[in-house]
Amino acid sequence: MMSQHILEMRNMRKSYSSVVVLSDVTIAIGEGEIVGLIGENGAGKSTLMKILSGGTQPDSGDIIMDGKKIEIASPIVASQQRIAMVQQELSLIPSLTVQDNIVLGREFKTGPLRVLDSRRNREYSLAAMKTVDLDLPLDARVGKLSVANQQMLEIARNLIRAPRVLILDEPTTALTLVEAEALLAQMEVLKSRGTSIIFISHKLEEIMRVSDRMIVMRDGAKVGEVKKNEVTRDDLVKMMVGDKQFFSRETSRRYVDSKSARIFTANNLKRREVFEDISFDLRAGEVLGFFGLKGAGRSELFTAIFGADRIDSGEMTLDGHPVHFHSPEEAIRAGLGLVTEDRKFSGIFPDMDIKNNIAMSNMRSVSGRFGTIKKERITSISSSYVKKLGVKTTSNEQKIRNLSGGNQQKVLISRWLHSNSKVLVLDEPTKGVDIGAKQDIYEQVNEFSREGKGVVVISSELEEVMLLSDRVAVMREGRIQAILDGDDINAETIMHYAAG
Amino acid sequence: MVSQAKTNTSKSSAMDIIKANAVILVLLLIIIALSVASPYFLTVGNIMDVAKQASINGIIALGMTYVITTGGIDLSVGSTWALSGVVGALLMKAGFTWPVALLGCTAVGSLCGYLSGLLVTRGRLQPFIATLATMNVYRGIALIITGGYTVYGLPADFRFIGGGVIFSIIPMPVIVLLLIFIVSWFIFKYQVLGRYLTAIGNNREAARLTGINVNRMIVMAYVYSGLLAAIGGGILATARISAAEPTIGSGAELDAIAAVVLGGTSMAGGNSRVFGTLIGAILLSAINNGLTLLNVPTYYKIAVIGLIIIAAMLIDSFGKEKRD
Repeated sequence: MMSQHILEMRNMRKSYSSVVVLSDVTIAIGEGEIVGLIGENGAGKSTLMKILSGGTQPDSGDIIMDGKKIEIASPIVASQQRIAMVQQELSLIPSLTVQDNIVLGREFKTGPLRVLDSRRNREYSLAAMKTVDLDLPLDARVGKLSVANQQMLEIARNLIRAPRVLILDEPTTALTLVEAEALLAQMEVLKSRGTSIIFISHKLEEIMRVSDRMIVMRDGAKVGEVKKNEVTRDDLVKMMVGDKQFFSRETSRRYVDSKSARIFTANNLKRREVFEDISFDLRAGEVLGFFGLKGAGRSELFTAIFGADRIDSGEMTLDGHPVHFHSPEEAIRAGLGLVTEDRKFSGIFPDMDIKNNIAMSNMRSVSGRFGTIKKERITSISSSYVKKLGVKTTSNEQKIRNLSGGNQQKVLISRWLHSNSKVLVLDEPTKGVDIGAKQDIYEQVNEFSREGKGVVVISSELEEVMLLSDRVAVMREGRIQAILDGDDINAETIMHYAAG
Repeated sequence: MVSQAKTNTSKSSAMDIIKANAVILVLLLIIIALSVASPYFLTVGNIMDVAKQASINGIIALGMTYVITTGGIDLSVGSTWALSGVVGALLMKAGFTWPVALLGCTAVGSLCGYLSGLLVTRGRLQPFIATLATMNVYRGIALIITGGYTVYGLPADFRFIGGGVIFSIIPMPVIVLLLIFIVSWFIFKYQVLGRYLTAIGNNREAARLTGINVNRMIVMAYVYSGLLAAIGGGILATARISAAEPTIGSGAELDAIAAVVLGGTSMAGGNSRVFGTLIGAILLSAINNGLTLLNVPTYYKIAVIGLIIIAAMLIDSFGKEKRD
């Protein structure tokens, strides 16, 4: 069973200024082996893989390939060693076509003028897409593709280069169930051809299913290494988080009943070709889940309600008064808050520190007359949120871009705590967030409802929606198919409405 | 382990300080070199000359810093200088007192900025394109209303603003520069407006979804840029030579941009240094002055200034790379 190790990383150490991100980590991978790498965000997985793919250098430690010590000084060297990494953040160029992206950097040229050889480029591109059974028009602009298709394209582009070691960093996050299944099946095929795969994912079920071996990391160290079928999911979770308390259905309490006031209502909202016939209400203290598959129109609906996009028709009320927001500014002033799905694109101010990222939604409360900012106030307020939500940081003057995804998300949630939102919409609140931070965020959702706020949780994770929601609205093709409560909140019923 | 980590931190923070103030170091080096080369360079009179020469560009560059913070650029500042200057001068020629003329001049400058800002926000034009166009429009208007001729013969008490001296040593433009620097720095560092502009430059979509009135803030940045172009160019420069030329100030936008980037502000927006801009403007002025003292011919001077900008930017760029 034990195959020959083709690659070893020995005693890897790395720190960024005073923070140790890797302390003496040793891992090895055999030919045709799938190794699952798991751990919370900030456990050091991504740094370890960044070293292997030439993106950064370790402070000390050796990389051994085929028994020889090698230096991976840059991504180019990694690619010469046939180590390929599919990043969490896609490296495709949106304005170029599918074919241009596939051949980028290794275009076939022909003739004395070295013009592009369109026939061979096309054949190469088709062959690349075939590696993952993808069928896209070669001349489609990549920016117009769905995120899932972009993800598959990124994988295809790497696979055609026949890597010996393939690193997949959270490849299924952006995929639907069906697409994820296809990818997992593809991994088995690659494995049978002798490709070694290092697989990073937060979804433990898939990792447990496809990995021959799993390596668990915590706080920059390897804390466990287990073979397939040796452990249960709970064992893995325990290894990942150490001795942390869990948020579960038992500890979650309900703070809403039929006497609770209707804090927000929507009646017959419509935006042409995006959503229509949208009616729901939200009571004080209620958590209303919005479930749907990709493209069901959930994010678009709430972006529009929030005043960031147009609504063609329909009525809304907030605290019983009719409202219509022409801009997010108006919505926020009225008491709405929105944690967007895409932190990087529409959430964080990357070069600004934690305290300003928190205070930005309500500068008025930290400034005096004439808009002069009170330094002590902004510092003390942000510190209290950092503490309350357990943001891991050395100081609240740290730039937010230096935080892990989970910690960034906590800062963004603090932003709406600070602006005192009555109705808070959380769009995929735990996307790309590790299990520890996930628990903290769940507890915060609970806290919101305990305080009598209305909370909407948009999520593509069935488990999450079921865990958090008092009621679940299921959307498909821009319409609410059903609003479920009580015993109807179960996986079969929800999926029945979501998939149609 | 711990002690090792600590030395790392202190080392990196020392490096950070050097990098953050690279322009000041360059300025000190240049000052040392020039004072060795020319004994006259470090005399009080010459230092005041350097400061005076820095004042017009410094004031305009401070406005430019605001616009660049939002991720934009204002190419129209030179034309705004000319247009606001001739309007102010014509008002005085028409018999208005100079304070009224100053109001007219700054109003025109602000309006110029306002229009550029509207094109960028409501009109959704690229800032480069929008202000390239308004640069031509404002210049054209300045030429039309003067018929292309210089406006001469301005009142003597107006000339004091540009050529006067306070405490028998400090030139008026330097006082104005310092006042405007303090205001710009204070707004940027301690006021909500400054935070909002930085936020917009960091992530415009996030700023909008956080409830910031993005369009209004951006327009304000352009208004400020236009206003400062009117104060630095339209008022100070006009008063100094006691004449308003419709062709003056061409290329002023490039000098201002040079001062801003030398000061360490990112052209991508969201990361600005107001104090750096002030130092950048003084640095450019010091080099210019020093090379003149050394009798370097003008053509060479222009090339040398370009080379110094390249050198300063390279130091900055390599510093950043190392940190990553």
